[in-house]
Amino acid sequence: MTSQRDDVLQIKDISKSFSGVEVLKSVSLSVNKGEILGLVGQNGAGKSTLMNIVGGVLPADKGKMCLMGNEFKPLNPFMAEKMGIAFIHQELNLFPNLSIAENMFIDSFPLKGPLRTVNFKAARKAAKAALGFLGVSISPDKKVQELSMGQRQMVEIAKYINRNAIVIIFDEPTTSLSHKEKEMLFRVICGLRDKGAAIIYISHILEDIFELCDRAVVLRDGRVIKEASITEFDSTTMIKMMVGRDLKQIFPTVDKKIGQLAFEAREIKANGVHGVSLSLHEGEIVGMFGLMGAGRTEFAKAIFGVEKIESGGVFYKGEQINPITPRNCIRHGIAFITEDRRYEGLLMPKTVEENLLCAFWDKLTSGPWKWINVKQEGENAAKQIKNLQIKTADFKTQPVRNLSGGNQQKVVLGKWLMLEPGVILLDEPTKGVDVGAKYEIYNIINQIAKNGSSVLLISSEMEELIGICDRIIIIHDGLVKGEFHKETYDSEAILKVAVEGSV
Amino acid sequence: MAEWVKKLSQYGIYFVFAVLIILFSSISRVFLASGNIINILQQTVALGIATVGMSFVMISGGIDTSVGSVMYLASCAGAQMLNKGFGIPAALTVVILLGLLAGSVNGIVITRFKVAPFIATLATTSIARGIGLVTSQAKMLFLGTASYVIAGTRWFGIPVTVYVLITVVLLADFFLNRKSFGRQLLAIGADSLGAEKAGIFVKRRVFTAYLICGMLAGLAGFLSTAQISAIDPKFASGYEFTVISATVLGGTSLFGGKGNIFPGILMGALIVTIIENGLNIMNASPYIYPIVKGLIIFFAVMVDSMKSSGEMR
Amino acid sequence: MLSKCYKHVLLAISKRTIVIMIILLFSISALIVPNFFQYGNVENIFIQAASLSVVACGVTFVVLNGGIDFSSTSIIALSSVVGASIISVDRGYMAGNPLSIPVAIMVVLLIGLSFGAINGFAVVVFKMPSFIVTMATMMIGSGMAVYYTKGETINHLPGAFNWIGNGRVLGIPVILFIAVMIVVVLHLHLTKSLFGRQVFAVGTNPKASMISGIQVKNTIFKMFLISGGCASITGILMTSRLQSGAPGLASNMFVDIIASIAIGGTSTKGGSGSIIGTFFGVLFLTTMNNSLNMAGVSWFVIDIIKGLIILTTAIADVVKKEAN
Repeated sequence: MTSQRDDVLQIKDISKSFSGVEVLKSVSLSVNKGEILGLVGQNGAGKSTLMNIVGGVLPADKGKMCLMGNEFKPLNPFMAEKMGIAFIHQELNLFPNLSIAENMFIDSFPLKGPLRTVNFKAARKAAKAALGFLGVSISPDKKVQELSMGQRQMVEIAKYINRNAIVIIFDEPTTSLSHKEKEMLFRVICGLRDKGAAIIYISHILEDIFELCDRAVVLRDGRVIKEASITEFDSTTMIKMMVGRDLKQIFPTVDKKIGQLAFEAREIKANGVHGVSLSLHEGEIVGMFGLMGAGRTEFAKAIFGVEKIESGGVFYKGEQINPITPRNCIRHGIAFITEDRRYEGLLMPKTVEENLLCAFWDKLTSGPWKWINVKQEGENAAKQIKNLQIKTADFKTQPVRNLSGGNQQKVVLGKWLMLEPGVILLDEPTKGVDVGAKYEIYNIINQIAKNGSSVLLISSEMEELIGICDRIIIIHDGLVKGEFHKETYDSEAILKVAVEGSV
Repeated sequence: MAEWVKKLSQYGIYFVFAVLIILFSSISRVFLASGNIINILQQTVALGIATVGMSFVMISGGIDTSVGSVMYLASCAGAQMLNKGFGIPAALTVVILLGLLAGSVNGIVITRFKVAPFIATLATTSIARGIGLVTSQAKMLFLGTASYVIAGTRWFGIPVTVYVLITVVLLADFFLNRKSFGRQLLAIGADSLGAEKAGIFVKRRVFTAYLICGMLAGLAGFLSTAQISAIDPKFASGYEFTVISATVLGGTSLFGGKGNIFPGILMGALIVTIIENGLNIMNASPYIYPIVKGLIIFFAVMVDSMKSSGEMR
Repeated sequence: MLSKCYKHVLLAISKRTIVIMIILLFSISALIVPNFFQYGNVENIFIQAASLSVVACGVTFVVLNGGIDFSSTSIIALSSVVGASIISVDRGYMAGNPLSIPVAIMVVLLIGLSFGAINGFAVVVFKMPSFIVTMATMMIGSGMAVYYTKGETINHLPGAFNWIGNGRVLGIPVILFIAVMIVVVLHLHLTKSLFGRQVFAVGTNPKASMISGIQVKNTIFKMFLISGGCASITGILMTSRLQSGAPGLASNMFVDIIASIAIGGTSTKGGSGSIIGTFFGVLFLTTMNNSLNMAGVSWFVIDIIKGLIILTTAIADVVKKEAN
């Protein structure tokens, strides 16, 4: 009996851990020739890690993979690419100052003649053919900087057509595409499938998964929940599987009162934010949930002045903050813990003390020369370290980059808490933090709220939000699409709103 | 970016060229005389060749401030070889080798040791000039008749050095536009990390760019001394600023990824030379030159910077 | 109080290998170079170091942001001729006027600060790379200096002015007092003031600093102002020492400035370094200059050595950063 399925790529029992945290637990799945497999799961479910292993970016700890029946163990992305894996990332790797044809052949131009000059004619022809294969007709001489996002994506795909890709992985390809461009992309992907490619399509837009994919895999917490033909799924069950009931984290509780309105953001419009309003009360912890790219971080950056705001107003205790700059916001008592602590939250080579104090220095000055009271510096730093239980060998000399993720995050928190802010915006504060430190951070957040401050907690971890927030707002495509109160928390419903934009 | 800035940088150069010619020819009748035109061409040769070298480095996103000193070192060596009777081919070979050596030192320090280009080339400036001064013992080097051969030879009425410039420009255009080296250099200038990811050997290409720059600086130095009878210890001191101005004026961006050999470099070098020549003819105070040069670089780079979003360093 | 200063100084010295290097250099020179300790040679070293240290410490602020300030040498020259043109006894604008010296000093400071402001503005507002901006202002500045005096020097400066560079108080040269005072003020400012802390933060990571509420643009702008101001003060000191205003003053000084800063431990990538380090770097460099000179080494060979110093310290800096 011949097998109807000829698996192009087989993944068997792949496991992977990062610093003791298991990210993939014995994952197995397969893709065959001429099919589109949808890969679905929440943030942190393990989709990117799995694809990075397939793409040769990371090595697996356990398990094995087979490509076209042979063992497949790419040591680096170049090897994976050579063996036929085309990984089309969200951030395109194109050179805007060069033409489409040049971009496609930049590392291996077709050469001609005794002088080994670039055979532009051949490159152009191949580029045109690749684009044609995708059903796209753009002149291959056009410079990439003149192309729209959708067209650029086509070029990125075309790059791999030429390299005879066997498996093509699409990672959230539609985030920057217009509706028309998305339709064109789907046509192209189906065309590729019809010509025999094995395609893995990662997306959080379930509607697209159902439209495009032949089969689907749902990942949750590093495990495969179900792998089956798309006809065996429906939106509701898929969401149910994505959310699950594995609550392994225990959340601290605290007795607190919610007071008056403290902070208001009205109709904020910015890049990626299309009109979001938010109000925070004293003592309230408000969660902001949404998928990646929904506009949460963009919103926070806009109201703090890190990114430009197009329109809308920010008010603290009734007073409008104008102009919206980080310095001004800080002056009014607002703090912002960014998502990217390495590049935006910390001065990595500098000491723990310096990092703790860098927003607080102006409060320690005296005299016309604005000299810093060194003794107070040390005292304040020591106090913060004790309060937050930051583990550091010597806060005056140890550079922050030598601390663990959890402790680094505490330093960031410490820096802001020193200002005793009335409003704290937290963007993914427990990302890359171990379980123990996570609990400590939740405690800190609770204490902050108990003392009367307002907290906005942006997070992709549903459990965390359900665990400590009084209210959860859901952002979808730059707009607020839902709000849930503590008493009526329903993780499936919340995810549904985040994914589909409506209940 | 504002449309007018784009159009300005594209066509502005021709406009400026025309304005300068009109300006200077109306001020002085001598300006367009054939003798002066030959003069201008001769002076543009050295600048043009050095500018070609600088372009390759700038396209890759770097900078080379040692050009003036390398020119001095090479011209000292070349002059001494000629004076000792070695003949032009031998002298030329030594000059080119020295230029390559300087370029390779810059290249290694920048690619292998990852030192910032302006600091690395600042250091090689002192070293190269110092070595040159050792050979000349910080004295004026007088040139023998061989230099007059270089300067005086004309083919069809045009100095032979101009043909060298044209050859260099054509070769540079060839390497930039017809060989994968040039296309990859442009990619590196646009996004060096992305270039690494795309499989380009970034270190090798950038190293080659500095080699080319050093070699052409040497050649430029050698050819320019042909026009003067003696090499002063301060020869070409600070010349790199002139070269950078000509490069940026010619359309190459300081930030990398954009470069225009033909006609950009020629235009840039011509404009800078014409301004100097014109000022000279106008009998403008020689003290004005550095002020004018400084202002030119300032505004050329200002326009360049407005088009890209650099850091504030 | 005094013992606290003493302890502080000892601590600063013990942490730096540069001090060991200076001691080594001194010892080797004493052995090899004839007359090293005679005819006031050592004092000469310190006097030369005085001028260099003021300008090098000023430029250090710009280097702490990962930039460079080429215009400092031109500011020195321009300050020299403009200042001299005001106070000169036979040709100055305020010749004979008792206020001529203070006015000249004010004017000269203004020149330095203006250049600093232009540099800072171009870097912060137009986002132009500092090396190009300051290269351009350097050319403009030195052109202006030469143009101003048509290449001549301005002599016959009042005795009171010349005393700054050549006089003594309690046997110690005044110029040394002034230089040390300025270096100490700058050092304290960098290590103890709000601005100093912000300089290090901005030089390390401007984005994170901005988010923490630091006014990044203002800080960078001030760095350039300080550099310009220090250069103009150096102009005063050097002019006084020379007893005349010279348009070509300090034209070869830039390599010394950069070499001192580099060997003093300030990273050219920004974010770390110190004024005291630069000061010791200056001492090392002037001592080296002096002893090699006296040993008969030509000035251009010394230049090669300086270039090699810059190169090795830059490479060492990168290697150190990678090792972390």
